[in-house]
Amino acid sequence: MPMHLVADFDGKITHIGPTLAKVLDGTPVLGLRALDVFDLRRPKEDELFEQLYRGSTGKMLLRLRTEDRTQLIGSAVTLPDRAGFLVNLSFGISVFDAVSRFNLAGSDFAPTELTLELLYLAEANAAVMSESRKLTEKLHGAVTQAVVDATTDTLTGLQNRRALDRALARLIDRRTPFTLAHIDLDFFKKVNDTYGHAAGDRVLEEVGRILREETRDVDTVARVGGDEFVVTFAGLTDVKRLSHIATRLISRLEAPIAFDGKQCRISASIGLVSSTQYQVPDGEQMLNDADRALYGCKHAGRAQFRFFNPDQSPAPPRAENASDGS
Amino acid sequence: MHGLISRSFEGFIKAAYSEDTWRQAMRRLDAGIDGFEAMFRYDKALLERVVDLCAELLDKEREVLLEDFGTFLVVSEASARVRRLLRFGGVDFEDFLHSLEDLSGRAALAVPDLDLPDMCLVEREEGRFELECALAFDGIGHLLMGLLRALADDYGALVFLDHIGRRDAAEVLSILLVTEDFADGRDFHLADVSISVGD
Repeated sequence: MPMHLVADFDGKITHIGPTLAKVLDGTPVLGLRALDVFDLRRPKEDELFEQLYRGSTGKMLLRLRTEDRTQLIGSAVTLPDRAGFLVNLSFGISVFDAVSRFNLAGSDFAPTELTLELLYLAEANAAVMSESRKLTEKLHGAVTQAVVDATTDTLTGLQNRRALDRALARLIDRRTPFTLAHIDLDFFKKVNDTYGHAAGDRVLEEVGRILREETRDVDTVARVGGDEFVVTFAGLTDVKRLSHIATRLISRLEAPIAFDGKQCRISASIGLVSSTQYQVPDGEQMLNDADRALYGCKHAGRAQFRFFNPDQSPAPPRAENASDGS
Repeated sequence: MHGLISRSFEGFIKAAYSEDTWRQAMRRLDAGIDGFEAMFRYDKALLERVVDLCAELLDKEREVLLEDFGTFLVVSEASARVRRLLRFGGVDFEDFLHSLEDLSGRAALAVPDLDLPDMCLVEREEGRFELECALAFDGIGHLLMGLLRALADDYGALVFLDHIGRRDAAEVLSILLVTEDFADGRDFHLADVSISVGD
């Protein structure tokens, strides 16, 4: 029992074990009252003496009266012939701090104590937990990447239809007013047919770049079909500003795109609709109505934009693809 | 804040209310997550915000919701482990109260970075205690109150609890332990095999 102390019947310390001496760091305690060295927190003093009178105590909670106030657990027995008390101490949960604070070794603990097993367990557990956390982080990273992949159009790096649906749901859910622009490229099929698919891909990449440049971070730009794009303008429903943006977009898209020494020329038709045109906006409905406005543009000769007007925009003929843009 | 804590709050909302409540809270949170990972760390402000949102959705006082959460941790079958680990603390309620000072250290044995708040118990007079709990997050005292109330029942003790506000960086509860043997408590054995491992 290297953590014991013996006190006489007046409560004065007459002997301490080697580990306790180490913990007290050479402070001379022999002859001092034990309760002046240790702060008894439980049980109360009179109760403790009552227990000792009967022969032995239950669990005692103590703290060293030093700056670090190390917590100790103890139990005491009365020695034969009332020669004094024998108190055995242990660190309890504070053992983890104590080991480093007092620079303790395995030999400082009673062979009957489970302290070393506990230290071993804690250390092994910390190692396993750290591995487990690394694994969780790795898996989480993989999931995040998978979500990004699943919501991104690989060719243009824009968002895809799935991401658009999510963005629409979010805008509607948060009651953010917004405008949805359905953009369909004009003469794209001609580029594809004349210069080949590589030229078409180059054009789509360039369109993606322009759309990103002409929109803000809070806007969502998605490629929703071969040559169809949808942009959501969060917080923007002003017709004048939107007209300006649409005009600028069309003119930038009309700039020739160089591919393999050739100049690819396209244009765009844009159908616009704002969430404020509805009592309760619905993503699907808005996409349809933007499509109707877009169909109006195509009908009127392409390379232009239109706002959805429920009285004027005709329903596009769904049977044929109204947006093949050739 | 450790994911285990946030995650158990998620479990509480789903079990005590509904999956839908949780989904709505996550949608309003708008943080790009639909739940917490147990082995992750999160900003504590995130959990505080989730608690606020849930309280709002359920039309409850935040304090009341946190107290219910504390009770849930002890009473629910889903967190039977938590109840058991707490009961390891002491043979009776007073013993248990004293063990709260060791709780963060004991929990750290299992999950080194769990960071449970430090608690300090002071016995003001016979049977009347004050428990100071470091402010791990706003309202921790209320959570603790629900937990202690449920545990008192578990031990069969009669106690009166009161949240008496903040003191420095801690929330303080006053605890009046009237009697240890007020009712039959729930059984507790150190070795309990009735809970399957890994649930």
